[in-house]
Amino acid sequence: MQTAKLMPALLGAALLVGTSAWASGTDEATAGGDAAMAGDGQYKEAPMLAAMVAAGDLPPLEDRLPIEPKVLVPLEEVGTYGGTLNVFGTGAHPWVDGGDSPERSQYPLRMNFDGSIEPDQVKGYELAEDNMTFTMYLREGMKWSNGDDFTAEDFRFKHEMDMDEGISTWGYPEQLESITAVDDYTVRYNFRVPYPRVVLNMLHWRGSDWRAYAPSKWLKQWHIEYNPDANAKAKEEGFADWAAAFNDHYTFCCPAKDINKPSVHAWKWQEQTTTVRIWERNPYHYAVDTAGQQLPYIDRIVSETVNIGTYKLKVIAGEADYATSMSLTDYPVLKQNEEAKGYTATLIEGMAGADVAYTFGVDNLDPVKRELYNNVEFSRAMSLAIDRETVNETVWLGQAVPRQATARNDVRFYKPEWGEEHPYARYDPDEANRILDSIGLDKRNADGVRLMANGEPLHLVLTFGAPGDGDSAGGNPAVLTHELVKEYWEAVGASIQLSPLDGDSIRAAETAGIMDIRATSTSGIEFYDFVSGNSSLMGVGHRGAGRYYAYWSAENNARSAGVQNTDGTELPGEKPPADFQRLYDMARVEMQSTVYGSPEYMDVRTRIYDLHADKLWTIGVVGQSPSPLVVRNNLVNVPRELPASAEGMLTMNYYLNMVFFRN
Amino acid sequence: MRRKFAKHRFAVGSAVVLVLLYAAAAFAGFVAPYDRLDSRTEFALAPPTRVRVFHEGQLQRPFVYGLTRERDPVTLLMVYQDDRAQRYPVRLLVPGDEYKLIGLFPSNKHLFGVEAPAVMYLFGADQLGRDVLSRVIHGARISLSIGLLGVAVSFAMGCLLGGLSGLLGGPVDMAIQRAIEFLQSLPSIPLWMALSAAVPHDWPQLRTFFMITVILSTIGWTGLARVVRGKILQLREEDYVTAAGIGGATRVSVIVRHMLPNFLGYLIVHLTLAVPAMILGETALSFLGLGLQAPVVSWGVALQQAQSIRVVALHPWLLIPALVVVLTVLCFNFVGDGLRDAADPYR
Repeated sequence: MQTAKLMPALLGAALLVGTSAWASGTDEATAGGDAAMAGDGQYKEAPMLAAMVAAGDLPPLEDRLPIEPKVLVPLEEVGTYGGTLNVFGTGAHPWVDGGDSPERSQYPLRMNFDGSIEPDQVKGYELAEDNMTFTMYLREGMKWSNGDDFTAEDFRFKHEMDMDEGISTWGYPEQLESITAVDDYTVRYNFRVPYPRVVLNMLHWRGSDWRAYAPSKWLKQWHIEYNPDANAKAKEEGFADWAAAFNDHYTFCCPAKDINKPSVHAWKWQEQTTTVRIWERNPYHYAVDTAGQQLPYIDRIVSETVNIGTYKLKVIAGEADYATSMSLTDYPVLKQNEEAKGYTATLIEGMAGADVAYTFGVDNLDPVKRELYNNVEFSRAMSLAIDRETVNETVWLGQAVPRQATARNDVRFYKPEWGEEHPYARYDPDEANRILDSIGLDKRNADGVRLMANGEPLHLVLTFGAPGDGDSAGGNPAVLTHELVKEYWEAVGASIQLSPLDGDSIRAAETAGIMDIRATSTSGIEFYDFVSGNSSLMGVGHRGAGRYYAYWSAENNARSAGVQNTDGTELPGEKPPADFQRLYDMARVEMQSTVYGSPEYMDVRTRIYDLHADKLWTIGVVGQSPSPLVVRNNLVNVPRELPASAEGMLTMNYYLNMVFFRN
Repeated sequence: MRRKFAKHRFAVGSAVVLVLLYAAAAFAGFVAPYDRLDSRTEFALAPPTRVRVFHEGQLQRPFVYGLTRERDPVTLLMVYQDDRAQRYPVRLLVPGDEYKLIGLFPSNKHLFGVEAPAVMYLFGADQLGRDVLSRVIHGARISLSIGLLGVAVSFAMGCLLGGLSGLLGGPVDMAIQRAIEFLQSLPSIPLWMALSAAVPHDWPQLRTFFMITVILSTIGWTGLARVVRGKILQLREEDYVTAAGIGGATRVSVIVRHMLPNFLGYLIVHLTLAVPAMILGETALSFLGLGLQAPVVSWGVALQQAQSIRVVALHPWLLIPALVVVLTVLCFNFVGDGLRDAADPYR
């Protein structure tokens, strides 16, 4: 194994200059034995666990921790044990605010604030020179929350399950050939094609306990190959056969079916009802702090699921210890109440390249509309008609950035002429009118609405996702933005109808080829865009242009299922024209095969956003709006900025196991 | 009866208020200082403007100060302050936004207001810098007329179906009465929600408006139909009705000339009391986003912005449309009470 003593510093620097030095790493703090660690590796545990050990209900701490635990450096200071973290979640997927996420907030590797990568759940990792194999070295003695050993078999077994047609698990990237367990603590990924991205996959949900590995020993009791009595067991539990039972116990999400599914995270499920979820500390958690105390500090997390209106009331009333789902427009009222309610509200940088953006229905089936929406002059005119400064001041408390939809302006390959200085991001209604007159929209009806080539008035339906319960017009900055933009567009002679739709209706409308204008928002975080690929499509082909996206999806599914589309059956949607195909190939194929930070990577990403800036399929209004973070005043070690790997606010939960209450 | 009604002071006062409200609605363009959609974003969420008569201790003609605005560095809220150096007198018949009086005569004169660049928002400004007072006045057109129109529809349906039920009896009566019971047993808000969800989003506003009215009337007619049926059952056995029938009067003329006048008073009272239910229904539906949609302004639409806790906590003036709804409903109830008392022969 290759070791680099200056790893963290080197990694950070290397990442920035774009070489692939992050291709391997060792957990230095663990391997070297940290000087700050108290009394020769004498680890300490929480009082509630010590009591259980004394009562004989739990093995002693040395037997629960790996031989070399992960040593985490608290952001501010070493903490003390105890307390319950009260949080709230909204909707069916309360993945933020410490809701579901403590369950899966750590991954094999972790990315630090400076962009450097270090091992977390694993001890070390190595990507072969040719990017064809990837090896991870596991921590000997690391255990699942039920006491089972955490071994290479957990990775191999999960992959075997993915190949198993009878059961449904979340699969691997198609580049993966096989996974081999070299020994109990060495797992090797073999790829069909060079796949450097695997390192990044291990930093987020693709490397999680529902995607990359699974508690094999526990799950095998429901699998017929490992337990000949699996069918009988399934019948006993009320399932039709072993596969149904297996799927049920495997299901991790929404809701998790079996809360007893073992975990390696800081907390494990304790209780789950439709409205309340409770997690309690995992006595087998593999990480300790620099003083040798086993993490986490906080005993228990209680998350209540409420609708967004109730959520806001609860947070404002100071009932949440930690909240990340408030909207920017709630900030003043939070600020006014913080002293009385004992919390502090701060604004942390948001992730959006565009908080509000509009995509025209380039795939509209009406030939007249289609031609218009594909005319870049039309997009330019509509973009010039929007007064972004005023939108920012009126709706976004002056805190967002008026800009065109593109990547965030802190990405390494940024060009200001994509965003803030885009030639059509300024406000010039006269020029907008001139352009619209010049592209055949010069005739108007009695109401002053421009007429299209077929004599129909330029009546455009602006479709947007209806905000959740209790978060409608009054509180949602995006909806207010739509109302303002409607006025700007009507001022240049369009007639706009705002149409709030729920998610399903929007998806149906998208593929039906009837979309005029689709409101959207785009991510702009460099790492996340790279990992997801969708974000670089920006509206086009993801949330707008649904017919093209349907085609691509079907094509993809056919490919990963190994089916050659040779029988001439039509794919759903519509084959995209050349420009869109070029965008898709760059974002989903070319970019994905580059090494993050390499010159080729910078080049393809630059070309992607050049194309967006040129074609203007998506018009941005404002972007990079910050969002409020609410933290109880005596809660310590909470990160106040987004990690470089920010995949939503979710990864702030990377740091939750080091958060503690100061008495 | 008129004298009796005049004695009921609340009722008379309420009737006056209602007449004023309807007049304001009819001449909304003239009465409202601004257009309903006129958005001056530089005054978004400005609090209600104070009209003053004292400047530095001196009594003056009514005037308003100019406004300066600044963002609070801590809460990030826009804070508006009077600029005492600028004074703008409040005038009658000031020129302002263009409108068409009762949809016919173009004009730009408004009953009262201040001249640009000053603004006078007596009820404050909403999130997009629109005058809440103007929106209330323009919204009255929809909200008040939906009450009348809805009652007219339920009146027609109630009289027709109740009349049929009472006159024909037998299976028709049975069917209609069971239908009424069924409709009345449905919880009204969910029923309205289901029905209005069925109204296509891309319909023109006028048709949506009419559909909402019909939806509100689906329940409204049932009570009236019951009353009409009861009255008809009671009256058709009366001697003078029998006499009219024997005398050769047609069925229709018996109903219209002999029976109807007997319970018309009751119907009028019932109608007055039914109007506020319609207004509340429209407000509730629009507030929930299921009724009318912007840019149409009704009181329910104007109240939509008051749905978030932020508004209630920081900008309470956005709740003023709710007070206007309360005022209107109370007025209708008082008038209804007054009419009922006046129509009651035993008082």
